[in-house]
Amino acid sequence: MGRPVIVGVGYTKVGEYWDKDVFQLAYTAIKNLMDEYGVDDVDALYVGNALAGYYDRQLALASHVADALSLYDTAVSTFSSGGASSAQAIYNAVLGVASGQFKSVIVGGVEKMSEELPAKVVRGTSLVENSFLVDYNGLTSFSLQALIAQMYMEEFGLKREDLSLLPVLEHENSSKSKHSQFRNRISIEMVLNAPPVAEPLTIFDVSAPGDGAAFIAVMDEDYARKNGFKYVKILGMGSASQPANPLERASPYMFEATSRALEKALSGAGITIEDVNHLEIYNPTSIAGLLVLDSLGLCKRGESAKLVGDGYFSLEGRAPVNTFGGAKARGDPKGAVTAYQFVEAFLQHMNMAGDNQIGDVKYSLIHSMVGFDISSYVFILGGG
Amino acid sequence: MTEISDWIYRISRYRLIGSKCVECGEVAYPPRLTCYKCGGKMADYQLPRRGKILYYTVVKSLPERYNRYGAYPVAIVELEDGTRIFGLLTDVDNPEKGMEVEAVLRKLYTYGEHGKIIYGVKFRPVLG
Repeated sequence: MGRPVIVGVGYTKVGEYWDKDVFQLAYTAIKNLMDEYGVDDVDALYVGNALAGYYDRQLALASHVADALSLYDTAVSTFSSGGASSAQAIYNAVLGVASGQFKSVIVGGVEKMSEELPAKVVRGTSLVENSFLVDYNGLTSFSLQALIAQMYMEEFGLKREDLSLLPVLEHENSSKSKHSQFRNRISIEMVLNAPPVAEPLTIFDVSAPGDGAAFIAVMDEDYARKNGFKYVKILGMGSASQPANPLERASPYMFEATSRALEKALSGAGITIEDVNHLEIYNPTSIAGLLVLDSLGLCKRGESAKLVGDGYFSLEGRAPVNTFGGAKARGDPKGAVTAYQFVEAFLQHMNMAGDNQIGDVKYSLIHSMVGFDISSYVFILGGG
Repeated sequence: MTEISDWIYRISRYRLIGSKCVECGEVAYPPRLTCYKCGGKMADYQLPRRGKILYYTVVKSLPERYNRYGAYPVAIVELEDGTRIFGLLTDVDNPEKGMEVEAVLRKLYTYGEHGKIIYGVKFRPVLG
């Protein structure tokens, strides 16, 4: 049985690339990874991508990325599930290495969103939700989450300002990051007074379209050690699902898929949540971020905004969250976004995070989800 | 959704037919194949057409096909039997929490090169 480790990363800055398509972005990231870390033996190439089938009319993306790179002696697979596309790719790459089938896998994701019209971005990013419930009905991911945000705020007596705390923190982290899309600092008042997307959410509560590609090299530990690679271990992972319709859940604002995935990942790693001192979570909206943090078991439900306000999740806090800005500020190129989270955890463990470096990172938690916690993925990294 | 699923679900969508679990009685809309609570089989179930607004918001960041006429309100509606569903609001300038509403059949959007018209239920304030 193999033990999966991460030996290298390659990625582009998240932004708007008017002169590059998905293949050129993926090529840049993969080429950087292979050249910088000396990865030349590739058993498999797994690619996450959410929207190329809808925007670019290109399906089976992994096959075409492999073709673009002339990597023909590889097993390829495409994973397409919104913001969790590359989480699924990495989940399966890890299984491939753990099973002994692969010694070396390049896995990540690529997305190209910025050239699409806003209405097509809003619709495209909402298609991960149940189509009958959302797409047909004129709901969107954001308006669905806005309604749940109202319920959540009412139940726990939160103010509009409490929603703003996490975006403010993420933009603060992003301001020091070189690969992030939005590097402007924002204030609680700016979030409050920004144009609404669907009340109570404004444009500063939600992620924006971005282009980017991020890939990591996952290898078997023995193989990596023999070949002289430095690495970070993938110690545990888990995944679970719940009803897509929040009104069918035990509580509409409880992320049970995340908490179940977390339980599996922690037990696989043999640690508890208190051991984790770095988190990269996926939160395409401020409300989703608070619900993810609520489901970690660090506080009572409804109290995560208070922890954010107390600085618990700040760069110098007890457990820094989204150290390069997360989906909100680093950017949210859907099919690549979990791969960016892995890149960032790798940089933290290798002491390569520059101005965003946190001290003494022990265990990192990476969280990803399809839609509003329909299916979730949690990974535990450590032991660099 | 594809044109064929618009056809498949037309009755459910026009008449607000959800499903009810034959084992535990749980009700769902949109209709489901299995019960999310107990895994049991679901049978068709006619939802009440009246209810009240629990929460609403106005969609201002508009999705393709729903972007012809500007911002529009959506809500969580609690129907008379207690079932809570998401729905579009219509014929209302100032929605309010607790407002009594009823389901009406409306055109939702047109699409495709032949301008196919898609219908469905929206909720409007109960008249008088």
